[in-house]
Amino acid sequence: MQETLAEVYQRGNSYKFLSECYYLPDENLLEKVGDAAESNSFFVELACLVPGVIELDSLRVDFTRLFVGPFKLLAPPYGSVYLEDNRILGDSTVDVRSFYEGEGLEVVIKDAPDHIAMELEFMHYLVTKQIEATGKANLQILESFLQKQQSFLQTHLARWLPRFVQKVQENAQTEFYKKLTQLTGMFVPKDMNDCSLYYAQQSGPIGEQL
Amino acid sequence: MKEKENKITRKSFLRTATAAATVGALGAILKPNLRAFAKSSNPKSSEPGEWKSTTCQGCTSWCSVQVYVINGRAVKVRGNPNSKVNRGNCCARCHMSLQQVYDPDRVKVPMKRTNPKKGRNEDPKFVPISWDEALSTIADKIMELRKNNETYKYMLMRGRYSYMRDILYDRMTKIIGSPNNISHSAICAEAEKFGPYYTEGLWDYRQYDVLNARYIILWGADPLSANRQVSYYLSVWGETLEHANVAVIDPRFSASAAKAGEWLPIIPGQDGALAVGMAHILLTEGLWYKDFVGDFTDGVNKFIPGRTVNEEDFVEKHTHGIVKWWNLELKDKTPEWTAEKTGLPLEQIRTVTIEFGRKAPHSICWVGGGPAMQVRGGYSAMAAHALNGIVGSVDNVGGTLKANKEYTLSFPAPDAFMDDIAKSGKKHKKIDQRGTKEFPALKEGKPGSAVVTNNAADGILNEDPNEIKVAIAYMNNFTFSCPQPERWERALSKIPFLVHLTTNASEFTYFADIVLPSVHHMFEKWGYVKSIGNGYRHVTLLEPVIEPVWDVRIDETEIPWLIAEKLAEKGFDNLLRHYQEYKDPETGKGPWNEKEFALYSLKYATHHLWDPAEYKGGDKFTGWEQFRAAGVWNSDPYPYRKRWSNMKTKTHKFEFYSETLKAALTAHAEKHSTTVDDILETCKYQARGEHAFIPHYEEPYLWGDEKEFPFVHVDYKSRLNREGRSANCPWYQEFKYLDPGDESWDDVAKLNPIDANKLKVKDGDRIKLISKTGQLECHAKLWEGVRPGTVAKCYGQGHWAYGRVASKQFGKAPRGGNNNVIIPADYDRLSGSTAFYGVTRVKVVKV
Repeated sequence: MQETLAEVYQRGNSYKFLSECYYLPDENLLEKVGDAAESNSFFVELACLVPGVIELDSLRVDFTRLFVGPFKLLAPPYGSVYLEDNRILGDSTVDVRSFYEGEGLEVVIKDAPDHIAMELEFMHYLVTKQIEATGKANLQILESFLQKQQSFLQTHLARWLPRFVQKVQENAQTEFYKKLTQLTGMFVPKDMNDCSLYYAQQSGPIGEQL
Repeated sequence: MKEKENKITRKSFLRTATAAATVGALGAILKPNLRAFAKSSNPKSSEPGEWKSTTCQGCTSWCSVQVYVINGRAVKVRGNPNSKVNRGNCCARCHMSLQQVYDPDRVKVPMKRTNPKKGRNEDPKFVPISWDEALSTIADKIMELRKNNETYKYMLMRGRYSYMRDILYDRMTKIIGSPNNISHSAICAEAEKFGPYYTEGLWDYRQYDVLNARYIILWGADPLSANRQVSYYLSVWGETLEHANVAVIDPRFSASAAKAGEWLPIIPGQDGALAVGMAHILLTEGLWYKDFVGDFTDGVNKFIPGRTVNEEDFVEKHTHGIVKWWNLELKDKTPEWTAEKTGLPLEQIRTVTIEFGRKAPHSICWVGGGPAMQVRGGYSAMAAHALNGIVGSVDNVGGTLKANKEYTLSFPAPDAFMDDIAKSGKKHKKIDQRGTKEFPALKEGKPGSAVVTNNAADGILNEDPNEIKVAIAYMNNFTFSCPQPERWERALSKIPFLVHLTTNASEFTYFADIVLPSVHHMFEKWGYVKSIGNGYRHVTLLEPVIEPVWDVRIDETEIPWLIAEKLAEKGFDNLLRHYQEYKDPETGKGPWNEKEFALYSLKYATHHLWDPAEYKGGDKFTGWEQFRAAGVWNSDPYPYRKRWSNMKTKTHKFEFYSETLKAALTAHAEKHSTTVDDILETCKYQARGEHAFIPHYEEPYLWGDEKEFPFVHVDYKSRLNREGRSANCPWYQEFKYLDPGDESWDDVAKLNPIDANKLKVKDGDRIKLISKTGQLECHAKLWEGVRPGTVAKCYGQGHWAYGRVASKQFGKAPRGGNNNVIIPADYDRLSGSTAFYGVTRVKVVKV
């Protein structure tokens, strides 16, 4: 049973780790990936692809081409680009922001709220809140945080992630970003599934779907 | 609660129960670890939406507009009802701005190039850097120039601007110590200003009193889609057509032609012939406006074809040289001659001219860039504009008007902050070679005073007058917007350190060492612009109405301030001390940071518009806040006929024989110790002797032999071009068919079916347009709206490095072709303008 709670911790850590990988890579990347691989075998393959400090430059160039620009952004990391008409800050972005605001969070970095790093970090946050509720044995709150995770993934991240992953697979020049997005693309739907299982029998339709 | 509990599954309940026992130990490990978020101190509640005032610079109409903002996000736009110029109207371009500001391809952070090699086939390999690193690098490069006493090797390139421009364009360049601030004006329509300046002393665009006009000739102008004050003219065109006839002179069927009574599809470049031919008809038919021009002493019309007239027989009122003009130029320009030169039916020429004359003085000849921006276009612009002189519509009801008076202030003078290095650096010659024998560039009568934008590329390439080592450019894309852009690619590759301030990375950015993310002018910037229409002038504010998504700064104020701060850190504080003089008129306080500077400098420049204590005229406000909320100041109404015999020409009259041009040309010739005839020959003009000083016909100067290149290329602008910045907006591509003859998501060259059949080219065929200087690929469109013998293609497509939508396959395949690739770099040298129209022949080849 101890292990089960550890699984939840691992979910939270994994979201945080993935979120960190969608910032401009720096010298700490190697350490971060190493730690993640140590605590979760899921990320072992990624650890093998982290370049040394010397090759960090090529990783940065690739990151920039894919997720920053400045020309054609090869793999826009923004939900609205996929969920709406190729623009940022659409209605779906407003909805993402209201998810954050619902948790009393405000975005403190200069970027669109539906950036993949933020959506992943938000999942991390919700998982930590789930754990907190678990600690207090508050079933109502626990349930609400599970529901929020599921709802956020279903409405946002999981909906556009496959197309994002595909764009990275087509355009990345480094194996690292191909593997990173591949793993992200596997992790999130699987987690959404797990999330649903926790919550499975609570209501008819979702249970039936499963 | 019980009900809820029942919902929890047995499995999760068990987990939870166990967790409660162990979480104390593990809880510390997974506290939320937040990077992008913080706990909100004051949770936002949803705010109601609000209309906020700002300005659209999608074209040079500069409409005052409003943006509907909900929770910091722009959701819709409309014209600002407070403006008397655009009167609550805006056009399609304004709506498209929403797709620009939220373009995922925008420049988001400062970036630096990591591939030192530059060229079209060299990926710059940009990576993000901090603002501090970017600014520090820029300041180091400037300090190096100062240390080596070569500040004149610094260059500032300016594209579109607001009137905050002088902070970066003028003051910073001067205080660093360089003569090389190069604006884009000569690729805009400077030659169009040549006509009114050398006739009525007005180096400016005009406004047109259409609601009082009874006849309107649109000459190479398409005001329902481009040119100036589009939204105003669109809004009143229905009413205008109720009492005025409209004739459009254009080789292609424009949006305005589609709404006009007459379309005159002239042979490209023959505008001067038509203008002098029309003047001939007006005079021979006795249709000049006597209250303005005067009359024969005996009242008998002696303007008889082929016959000279005694100057003493005619007494002029508010004009100068009508008889000289007739004798030197007009007397032989018969309707038959005109019809032959222009390829237009004689009857149509006569009908249009006579009706135009009969409606005098409420007859407008609206001269656009078409007849002017040609190799010999300055004289055509003069000739076409002179028709307004004949019918007395200049400065008159229902005629062509200048700008109303406004009361904005210049920024503080830089002189006291220019040290010896700066003063000596500034004395060097300019990189665009203006003022040399072959570039008279006679802005406002002064030789060498107009910019020759496109020639700066040659100046840089040939290091003539010197090399350029450090360059900053903003809101421009000369590697796309200038003819023969390949020269710019080489020129920019040659500059060792190039900085681009821009919202979207472009073909220009491709050659930059540092890219700085700039605000979108309409949504994120403090600034102001001035514009005219409807008999008023407005001064409209650009305001930051939304919260920018990315880490952007204001190009014309914040960025120069930040550079000034860095220069000060490195031991040169003159620029910063100068900027600190831009004090807030309300408090008297100088700025302490870039944000204060952006606001104070704007309040400084517009002080007399909003401060009731400094009131000079027009709208009156109680203070800054009321002005800011309204977003626009309107002038007093237009004072008609105040300039008659009070014009800024040598004679103060409207000059058909231009003493003003004579003085300017003579000054230029004397500067180069030669004759005016020699200057004209050097500059590709045909006029000799007295013809140099009058509006006259010059044969079109076309590149390419007619046998090899049988078609004349017709370039024009789209009603959707936000000054060439909208090709990355999906709506631009989707609605491209709104330009007559064009197709959505495509770039088509329009051929008349008569020509297409001869070439066996069908609709949709892939074709190449080849000129002497380049070639492009696009699709063929068979269309009766182009004159046989011409190929028309709209400017705007053909981007190879702009964004996801603008190019078909980024970096590999542009969507169609850039017209400038086939247009040779040539000039109307008297005005310094680049030639875009009637300048090149092309051949059409099926791919």
